[in-house]
Order: sequence, then C-alpha cells, then structure tokens
Amino acid sequence: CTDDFDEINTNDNTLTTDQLDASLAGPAFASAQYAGIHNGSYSSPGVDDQGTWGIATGIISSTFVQYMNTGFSTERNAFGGYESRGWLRFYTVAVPALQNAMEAAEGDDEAQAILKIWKVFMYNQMTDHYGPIPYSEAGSGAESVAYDPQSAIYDDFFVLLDEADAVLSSTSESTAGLFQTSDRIYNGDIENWRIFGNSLRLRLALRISDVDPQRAQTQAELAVANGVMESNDESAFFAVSDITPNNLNMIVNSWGYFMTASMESILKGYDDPRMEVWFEPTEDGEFRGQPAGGLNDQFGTTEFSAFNDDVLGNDYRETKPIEILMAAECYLNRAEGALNGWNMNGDAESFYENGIRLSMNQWDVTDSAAIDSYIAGNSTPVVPVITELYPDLDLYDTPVDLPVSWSANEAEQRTQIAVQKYLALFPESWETWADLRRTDEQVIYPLLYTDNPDTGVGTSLMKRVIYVTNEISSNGEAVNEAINLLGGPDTGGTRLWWDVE
Amino acid sequence: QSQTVSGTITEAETGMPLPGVTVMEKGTSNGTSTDFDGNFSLNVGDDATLILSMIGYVTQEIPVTSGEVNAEMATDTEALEEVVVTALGIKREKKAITYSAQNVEVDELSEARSLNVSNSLSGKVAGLNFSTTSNGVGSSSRITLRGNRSLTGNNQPLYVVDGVPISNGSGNRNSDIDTGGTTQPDGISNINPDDIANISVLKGPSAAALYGTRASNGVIVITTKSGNGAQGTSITVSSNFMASSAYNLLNLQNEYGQGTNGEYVPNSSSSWGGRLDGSQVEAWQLVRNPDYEGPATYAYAPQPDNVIDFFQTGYNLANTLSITTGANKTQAYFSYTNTTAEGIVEGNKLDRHNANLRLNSQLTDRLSVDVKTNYIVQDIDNLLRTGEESIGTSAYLLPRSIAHSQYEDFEYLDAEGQLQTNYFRDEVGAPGGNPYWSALRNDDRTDRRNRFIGMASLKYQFTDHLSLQVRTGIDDMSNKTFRNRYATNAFNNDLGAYNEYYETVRELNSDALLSYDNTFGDFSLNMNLGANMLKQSNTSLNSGGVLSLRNFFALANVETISSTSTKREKQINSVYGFAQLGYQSKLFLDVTARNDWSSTLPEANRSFFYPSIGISGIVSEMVELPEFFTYAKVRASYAEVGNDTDPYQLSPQLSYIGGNGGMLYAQTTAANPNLKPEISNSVEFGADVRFLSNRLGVDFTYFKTNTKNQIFSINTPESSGYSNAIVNGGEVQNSGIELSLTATPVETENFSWDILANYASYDSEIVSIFEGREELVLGQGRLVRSKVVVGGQYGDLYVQGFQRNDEGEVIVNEAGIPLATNSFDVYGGNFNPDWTGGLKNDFRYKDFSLSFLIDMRIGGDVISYTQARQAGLGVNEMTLAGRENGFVVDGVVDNGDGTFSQNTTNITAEQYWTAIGQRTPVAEPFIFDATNIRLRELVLGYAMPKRLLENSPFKSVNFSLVGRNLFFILNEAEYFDPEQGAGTGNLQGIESFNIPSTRDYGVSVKFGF
Repeated sequence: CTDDFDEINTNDNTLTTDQLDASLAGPAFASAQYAGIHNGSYSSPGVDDQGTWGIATGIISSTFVQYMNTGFSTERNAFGGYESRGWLRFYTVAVPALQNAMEAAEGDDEAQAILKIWKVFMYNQMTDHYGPIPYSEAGSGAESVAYDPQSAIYDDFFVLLDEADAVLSSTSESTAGLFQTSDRIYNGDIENWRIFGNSLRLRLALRISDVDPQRAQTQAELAVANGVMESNDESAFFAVSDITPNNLNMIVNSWGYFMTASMESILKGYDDPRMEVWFEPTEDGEFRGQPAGGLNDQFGTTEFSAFNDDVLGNDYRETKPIEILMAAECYLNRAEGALNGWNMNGDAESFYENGIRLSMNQWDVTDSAAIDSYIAGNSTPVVPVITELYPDLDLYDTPVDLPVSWSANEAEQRTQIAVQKYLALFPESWETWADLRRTDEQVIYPLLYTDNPDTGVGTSLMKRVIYVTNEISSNGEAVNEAINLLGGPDTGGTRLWWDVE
Repeated sequence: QSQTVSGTITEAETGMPLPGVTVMEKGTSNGTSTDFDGNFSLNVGDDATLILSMIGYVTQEIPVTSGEVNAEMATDTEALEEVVVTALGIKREKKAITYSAQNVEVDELSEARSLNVSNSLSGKVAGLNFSTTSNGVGSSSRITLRGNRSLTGNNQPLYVVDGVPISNGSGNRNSDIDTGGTTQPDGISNINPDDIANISVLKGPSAAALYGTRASNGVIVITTKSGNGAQGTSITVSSNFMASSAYNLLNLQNEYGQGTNGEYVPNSSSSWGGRLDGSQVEAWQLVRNPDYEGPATYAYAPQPDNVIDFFQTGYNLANTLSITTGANKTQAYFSYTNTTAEGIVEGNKLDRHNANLRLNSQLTDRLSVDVKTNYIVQDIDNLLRTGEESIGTSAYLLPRSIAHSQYEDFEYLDAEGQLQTNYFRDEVGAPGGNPYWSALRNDDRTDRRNRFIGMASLKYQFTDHLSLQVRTGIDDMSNKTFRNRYATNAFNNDLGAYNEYYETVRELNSDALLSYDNTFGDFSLNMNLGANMLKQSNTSLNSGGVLSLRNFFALANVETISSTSTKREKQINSVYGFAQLGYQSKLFLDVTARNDWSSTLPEANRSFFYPSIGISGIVSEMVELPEFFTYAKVRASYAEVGNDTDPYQLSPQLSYIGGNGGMLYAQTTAANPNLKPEISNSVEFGADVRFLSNRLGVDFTYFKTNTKNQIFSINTPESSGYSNAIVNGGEVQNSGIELSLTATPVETENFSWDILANYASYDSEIVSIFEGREELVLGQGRLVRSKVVVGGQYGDLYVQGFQRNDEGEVIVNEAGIPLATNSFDVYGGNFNPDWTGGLKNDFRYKDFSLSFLIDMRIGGDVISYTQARQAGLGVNEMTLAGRENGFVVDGVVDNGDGTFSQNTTNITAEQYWTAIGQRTPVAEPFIFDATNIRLRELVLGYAMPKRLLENSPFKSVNFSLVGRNLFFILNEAEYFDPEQGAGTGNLQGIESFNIPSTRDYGVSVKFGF
C-alpha cells in the first residue's frame, strides 16, 4: 500500500523541470530580466526571498557613487553584508532563470540570440562589481564552481554579442514569438534587441579602452556601424508591475533617502532643470544635499532634500519603468569614443549635446530653448548649502569646476562627458560606478568618514565589492584562486582588470 | 481432590465490581481473571490459597475456606505500584518500565491554571526545558526533553492524547530571529486542563520507539477523563479566575527627553533631547495634526511610568461543567469548559469553548467500544506579534518625555475625515509608533480556530489472553486569520491593507493491535503486534492586498488580490511489535521493533526498520538489602528511532507566477533524490531507589543519544545556482543526567509534607556536520547568527562585535567611534542552560493544603535586541553616562601601518550609542546571563470536610487560592524575562521586544454533586 506514495509526495503548486517547454521560455526570461537588473525584486512571490534583496547591489553602487544617501554603512565605504545579497539573488535566481529560458527556447535561434545579449548584460554588472566571478560553470549545480578571469569573461561577452547580432541582423522575423508577451523590455522586438546588443557592445568597448585600446576601438566602431540607440524610443526600460516593482522606489519611499551634496553641487551649479524633477525642496524651501559618509546624527535634525515621488514611481502602483540602457548614454559614449579618435560617425561635441538633450527629454524636460541655454551654460558647480550650517565641512573645493558648455581642452571635454554621463545614468547606479572607476574622473566629493580601513579605499571611491562569505565557506578553494586572478587582496581597494590607472 | 470457588471482587473504596482482577491459586500456574461484573470461578485443590492481583491495587492472599470467596481490593497508595501510561495508551506498572518516565501531578493544571497546558509542565519533570513566545494570550510554548538533537528539524516532543497523536499545529513557527512574527497558536494549547486525568512524560527515544519518527524527541502522553467504572451520576462545577499583571523589569532613563543633540525635537524617535526640566515645549501632536486642539505646549518632564502604564491587568476566567455517569455496562463522561481571557495589551483577547464527550461500553462479554469526541472553538483577537514589528517596539522605544495620557487617545479624524494615528510619525515598525495604534490598528487581527479531535476504538477479547483492538483517531483543525491594517503613510499602505489566511491541519491515525497476555509459572508474557497508518494533510490559502477604498476591510475591496496557496501531504505506514517477558515480577525484558514506510523518502530508502531493547530488575526483591532500603530497581535500554523528512524534497521544482505573461523561478534549494532516513540511537541507564518505607526516593537516569544521518540543508556555493542543498549528514550527541528526588519528611494523620525535586543537565556536542564542512549556520537576524561548529555545542550564538587588534583592544575610527566587525563572527554565548531544576513542596494540614513550585534555570545566555535598540535611541539607563560632556572610548586608532595609538577623541553618548545600537547592533554590550529562579506555582487549597456537607446537595467543595510566576527569586537578565523568546523554533536565546511576562493570581472553586 505504498503505491500512491510518489503521487502523495508531488507538490501540486509547482512545476517540475521535465515540464519545461517552449511555453515557459518567456516566463523564465522575464524572471531573468527582473532578477538580473540590480534594482529588481526585493522579494519575488513564490521564491524564497530570504536575504535576496536585489536592492543590495543598488544600495552598494547607489551610495558609492553618491546618487543617494542611505544611512547605511555602505555610505561610509563599508559593505555591511550587502555584498552577499546581490550575489545570492543573481546566482540563485537570475542565472537559473536564464538557463531555464535557454533550455526552454531550444531550437529557437532568435530567442537564443536575445538571451545571449541578456546574459552579457547581467553578467557584465556582476563581473564589474566583483572582478573574477563564476561564469563558465555558473549554475552548474556542482559542489565546487570555478571563477573565470574577468578578461576571459569579456572575451566571451564579445563572442556572444557577435553571435547574437549575426542571427538578429539576418532573420526575417520581426518578433521573437516566444517572448512576445513575457519580455518586459521590448516584447520580443528583434530590431530593438539587435540595437540593444550593439549599444551594450559600445559600453563594453569603452570599459576596456584603457586595458585593450585596440580591441576597444574595433568593437566600438563595429557597434556604431551595426547601429546603436539614437532616440529615447529605443532606450531599454523594464516595465514594472505590482509583483515586480521598482525596488529603489520602495526604499526611497519608505526610508526617505536623500539627495547628496555632490549632486546638489553639480545640479545647482548648472541650474539643471532635472534637479526639480528628481528632488524636492526641504520645508524651508532649500535644495539641500547631504554630504556622503557622515556619522550617524552628524547633522542633527537638519532637513535634506528627499527624492521626488515620480523619480522612481511613488508607490507600487506606479508604472514608472526601471532604466536599463539609455540612448543618452550611447551618445555620451560615442562622444568619448570620438575623442579617442575612433570612427563614431560624427563629432564629439554634437554627440555630447545630443546626449544631454536626450537625457533631458527622458525626464520630460522638453523646452528646447531651456536645454539649449543649459548646453551653452558657463556656470560651474557650487558649494553645497550645508556649509552655511556647518562651515567646518571641507566642501569648498567642488570636485567639478567646469561648466556645461563644451570646453576646448580635450582633458576637460572628457571630464564634461563623465559629468553628463553621471547625470544621464541617474538613478540606476551600477554603470555609473564602473564608469567613474575606469575614467578616474573626479565628479563627487570624497566621503567625510570611512568605516573601511583597507588600503586603497579610505574615503575615496570604492574599487570593487568583496567576495561573499558563503562562497568562502562553501567554495573556498575557488575563491582563493579567484583572488589570485584578481591580482590583489580581496578588499574594496583592489582595482579590476579593466581599471588601469 | 478439588473444589470450585467462585465469588465477586469489588473495589474497596467504591464497592463497584472490579473486572480484570487476576485470581491465581498460590504455588501453581492455575488462574483466571474476573469478568466485567467482577465475578470469577476457579477449580482449585484442597487447602488452596488464592492470590488476587491487579495493577494499581494491593495484592492479597485469601485462604479458601468455602466455595464462595468475595473480596475487596484496596487501591495501592504506595508509589511503587505507580502506573505509567506508555505507548499506544497502554498502562504499565512503573516497575516494569525499562526507561525513564515521569508522571505529572494533574491537580494543579486546572487550579494554577495557564491558558496553555504545556506551561504547567515546567519544573515538574527532570530534563524538560521550557520557553514561551510573547504573543500575549494565545502564545505558543516550546518544550524540549533532553535538549536539541536535530540540527534544523523539529526538537519538540510528540503529544499523544488517549493513545492517538495529535497535531501540535502546522509547524508554522514564529520566525525566531529578532524580526519575529506571529503564528497560529500551537496544538497542545487547545487541550482542556479540566479533562486531563494523567500526564506521563516519556523521555528520549527509548520510551518512544513505538511511535516512530516523530517520537525521537520524547512523548508527552495525556490521558483524558472517562467515565470508566462509574455507576450513577456525579456532577462537578468549577470556576477558576486568574488575574495577570505585567512585570515591571524595564530599564529606562528618566533624565532626558525626546530629541537629538541635547535638544527637544518633536518629531524625533530618539530620546537624545534635552534634560527633562519641566519647561514648556511645543506639543509633538502638532507634527502630524495641525488641527490638534489640545494644549500647544506641554511640560518636558520625566514620565517614568509611560511604558508600564500601557500594559493593563489581564485575566483568565474558566468555567467548567463535567458530568460522569454510568449504568450497567455503559459509562459516559461529558465536560464543557468556557475560557475567556484578556491579555495585558489592550485588545488581545481569547474566547475558547471545549466540549468533550467520552463513551465507553461493554457491548458484549467480549466486545467493548470507546468513543471520544472533542470539539474546540477558539477565537483570539489581536494575537501579538513578536520581534521588531511588535507592539513591544512601539512601547519600549517611546521617547522618555511622552506621557501615557498624551498617547492614550491614539487616533483622531483629520480635516478630510480620515482616521489618523495620534503620534509624531505614522509608520509602525522600528522605531515604533503609538503603542495603542500598533496594538489595535496596525495589525488588527482575528484568529478563529475550529478543531475536532475524535477517537473510536473497538476491542474484541478472543480469549482471556488474546485481544484485538482497532482504533482510528482524527485531529482536524482549521484556522482562519483576518488581518486589517489601517491606512498610514507607510509604503504600500496609504489606503490600508487586508488579508485573509485559511489553514487546515489534518492528521489521521488508524491502527490495529493484537495483544496476547499470559503467565506461565514464574513467567509473564505480553506480546503485541500492530499496524498503523498516519496521514497528514495541511493546506493553506493566503489572500489579500492593499485596499482601494480607505480602511474598508474586505477582499472585494482589495485592488489587486494576491493569493498563494500551499498543500502538503504525507503518509507513513508502519508495522510494529513489542513484547515483555517478566520473571517473578522482578525481572523484565522489553523488546520492540518497528518498520516504517514514508512517502517523503525515495522508493529505495522508503522502508526503514528500528528496534529497541530494555531490561529492568527489582534488586530489592532479588537480593537482601539493608532494612532502610524499601525498594531498588535498575534499568537499562537501547533504542533506535528512524525519522523521515518533509514532503517534496526529492525532485527539483519550478514556481510559476501568472500575470504579465508569467514568471518562472527555480527553487534555490537543490533537491536530493537519494535521501535516507535519519536515525537516533540512544542508551540509557537508570535506578529507582526508595528508602525508609518510601519516605525518600531517588530516581536517577543517565542518557546518551546520537542522532545521525540528519536531513538538513547546507549552504552551497550560490554560484552553483543553489544557495542550499538538502543532504544527509550531521551527528549530534546529547548526553546527560536526570535526577528526581521525592521525600515525605512528615506524615501524620493531620499533617503531611511532600517534596519533589528535579535536576537535569546535559551536554550536546556537534560530532559532525557534513563532509568538508566544519560549520553550519542555522539562522541569522540583525542581532545574532546561530551557528553550529564541529566540536562545539548546539545553541552557540555569534554576533557582530567590536573590531579589535591583536592585543584585543577595541579599534575606533578617526572620529573616536568603535568599529564593528564586518560579520557575525564574535562568539556571543550559548542559549542552553547549564542545568535546570524544580522544587515542589506540598503541605497538607487537615483540610488545608499548600503547594509551591520553584523553577530554576541556571546558565545559558540571551541577547537582547530591545536593549540594543533602546540604547541606540537613548531610552535606557546605560545611555546616561556622557550625555553632557561626552567620554573617550577606551580603544585605539589604526595608524594604517600596523601600529595603533591610544584613542583620545571625545564623543557624546549619542554618537557612541547610535553607532552601537543601530538596527544591526554591535551586540557585545547586550548579552545577558539567562539564569533565573522563580516561584512558578503557589496553590493554597481548602476542601470542605464531609461532615459539613452531610445536609447539603454537595458531595465535595474545594476552594483554592492560586498564583503563577509570582516573583523571581533570581533573574540575572534583569530587564526582561529570559524565558520568553521570539519564536518556538530552534533559534533561541534572543530577546526582541518581548512584552512583559506576567504574574498571575486568582481563585478556583469546585463543587461536586
């Protein structure tokens, strides 16, 4: 009488892996998308969400680049355990979801091509956080998982993008049918994904421009020749829903994050129309940014500007989508490429201006006269108003002392591009962090204090995220090997492969 | 020559015929037993002597002088012949038991009454470790016998009522970590103390080998009252009233008020404000309510009672009617109890109805039937949450200058007519809101439970020696929870939220038992063969979401309903056998064997077998002992118990969520298709020695239990795609001693004094975890990480500590503030006590009786999240030092070149404690010794003498004055009751905003008709 035991021990509320077929490719891809963006899901229904806050990576890079002040210790260059949450979510949710999508979409070339592009996007974020990471063996289910050198991971990124572009540029289909209803970014639109892939290629090319200038040029020129995003219609946003909300909106709305002094300095100095879109004045009518890295209660009851509700959506019902990859960034990338002497199909100054223009439009700043005068602006960043209350704060030397208007000096032009990219990428922070590390441009103030005594960290911009304790305890040998590959200690002060001084 | 003797045997006390008395001809194996009417007939030789014996009665020898022998059997009052209810409801003489078993006095259960019967066991059983949750009325409790043996599984004993296991709830435990939670009250809490006739605690696997998988943690066997043997009708009416008041253990400072930086700030959650000098400050009510009509200023003055005044006096009133009736061959017991209770937090109420009907009948000479139905209806309002989002958070973090009279009116209607909380912030959760709003509006919750416990048993006596019993038990429980969350500005709550949760927990046990019982000369033999089928089936449906129309709590008003459901099923089939061989009633050999088939294990490992063996010998009857020995028994046993696991762990699963084209997730825990059953091996030795005609007795037990092949999940490299994998592995060894001492220093006709003392201590060692793994994290919150390390103890707690250099000096940053370690790597203690004990004294003088129980728990640690958070907000006393002029932390500054220099930077108390007591605190300063000794029970009783009742309708009248938890004799934790935890799971030793425990006192009256 144990005949029905197998049936008794079958869970009616879940599917099994042998039910994985083409109809599940789209739902699996949707999960890979949501878990693969760093501000995705704080708790996905049906998933064990303990500790898997996607916001962890958001908290880390958002505070490192001073997009927001959190009150968390990450603000003083500590990791506070947040380093492990994003890792957990990525490897146990995003990676298996992507693998399931690839398995379910077997035989569908267009779908596979799109999945390859997404694979590059989501792993790029991870490797640029940690350095060497599990890549070729990730999601294998093995007891020990090897870490791949970052250079090899980048090698494979370009291979995947080549393969994807080959399929998507030659297919007669206009939509990947499997993804039409589930793809929350482009609804399976093949041309959009093709352009996304090449825009991503341009981003990666710039990333390696210091460590491998030759390949960087080739890849950047190929990307532009294939076509990158040129209008906001082509920009990639993740469409949120009630069960897949924008995570940053939750933390901003429930915990009241603040504008930073670095942001205030730039936005106010340039009289940037985006400031009022993003932030709200304090009750005394001031746009006041908080210096990053302050001690608990250092500023007593001083009020600082909060985020505006609609920057991130004012609650879960909002339909404000999550920014993934914007056309504005593509123009600014091309501007830098042009300064590098690459064939970007245009000149640096006009790319720079277009980038600004598209970013303004993206935030519904459409008054072209106002934008023109912003672009021509000669004002420079200002000293934050907090110094009126706390005159001892060392904030008088603003990190940026250039106006918006295009400089004649190439080094200054590079800084101007970096500053505009800093603004254009807001509020999604991980690309900003990678870009600031690579360019070494000084856009933000050093921290007031640090909780991280490691060499190379201090109060300056963190160089990477440390490896997570669970990997060290369960996959220790592989982590030791990864630290060898890293070429420096496992601290926030060790530069990544592409981060050449 | 031979003659026939016949006669009737009756019970001396009642005069009722006594069935089942063994009648033996002395010196032969010739014998019989009395029938249902107490009659017997036996052919005996000349000059024969009859030996009449029966468990629980004094054995007598009667010379045969005529053809008719009528005798009365007197109840054996000597504890030697104590009867223990063992596995499957079978009664055994205690002297024949080969393992440790202890009976619990049941009188106090209904007198010094607790809402949850299991609360009444603490201190009365050696080795029973007790803790409770702080959910107010409706709280669950956690009991372990002989420590924790399972790394991640259940460590609580199995509850068996009238031979059938009952469910102790859905296993949906409170979250154990500092964030806490709520759960449905446990299953044992529904049992009516008035119905209980006997409780036997069978410790350790030996005792329980026959119950199979769930019994490895021991069994608590409860026998309820029946009308057994009753002729005629008796009625008992009883009432019990207990009042509960909160212990005021709070550790609060009363010198500085709400604010920061030494100044009053009306919207600050901290008490880092100015000195409470009585000056007039702006009313904090104006922060959120510009239309506030009260005084615009108020006196900034100390409010030493603003927290304790929030707690009210609770009560517990139980009224019981019970009827026992019987005629001829049928008896019945009926009882009804209504219990109403209110906790010390406003709105936390319980209303419970227990109706119980038991019928037994001798249908024919050979066939008897026993049927029980027990129906329970229970409503609980506002079962409290534990942990960070509890009302404790709101109450304990109240700024020190806010008066109870200010926040007592906890809500108002704003200009738009919308209900708002009267507080300077309207979010609940750390650091709290208005405590009354938290209690009544934030999570306005109703729990409804309907539960049916039924049992039907048929017994057929084939011959005097052979019988078959067939029995089915049903425990069917449904819980419904309705939660109203009133609108606030908190995330996702601007219009309020509503949620309904339905849960069913069903357990079906069917068994058949064939028994053979006979004596052969000096040998007695009892053999049983049984089969059991256990079916468990739990379902749940959770539905709700945020509202569309403000504060209208109905599913129809939920904007987007989000629903999840679960269904879990499990079946275990078993066959088992057990036998006892006795020699001259002085030597006993017990063997048991059981084979289980569990649906939760893979086909190849589904079937598992486990045996046990035990011997006991009555030394005092085998050898001549000095006269002061009345009795001496030794025993030894070895047992194995197998254990299965939860359903659905064998194959990988995918979760699918519909909407927006659907989403598909993989499980983050790797399945294991090759799971094997867990096995616990245990040995125990014991001795039971009585001296001086039973005036003094000692019962000693040594035990050792090894639980191997444990099924648990280990962390795996997340890069493998799984954060955890289900594995077999791990071995935990528990060993210890248990000691019970009974004494009767005085025994005269008018006065007697009885003592019961219990002592137990044990060690638990983690022998192994898993190949290549030296440690396993069992759970982690913001305060502690519970971790087992090979060679370490179960229950070790690790915390974030101060960063220290090699010399052990605290490292501070350049601002003079101590740095916290990056992870939870500082050992913070162990939650297990070094030893536990109880001391119970019973005095009787004429018609008065007095009993008290002292309960001791010595050693162990508990870490307080409340103290940490209070320190961070400047609420507790430890934050007073350095308020005015600051202090310099005794620490060193890292010079960055491997050297350190002495810290000289002066910081304020606020800077220090906000860094230490933040949401993820540096826990080192908040570790407390959990040692406590308390007066657990006090009962003063008076039984009205029979002569006064002669002309009244009453057969008996009893009064008692009772108290529970009246005071601490010692409480090292000082600021809280260390017995209360955040949950009933394996992660203990955390205090997180527990509401105060209570002292309960009251009166109980009982009338018999």
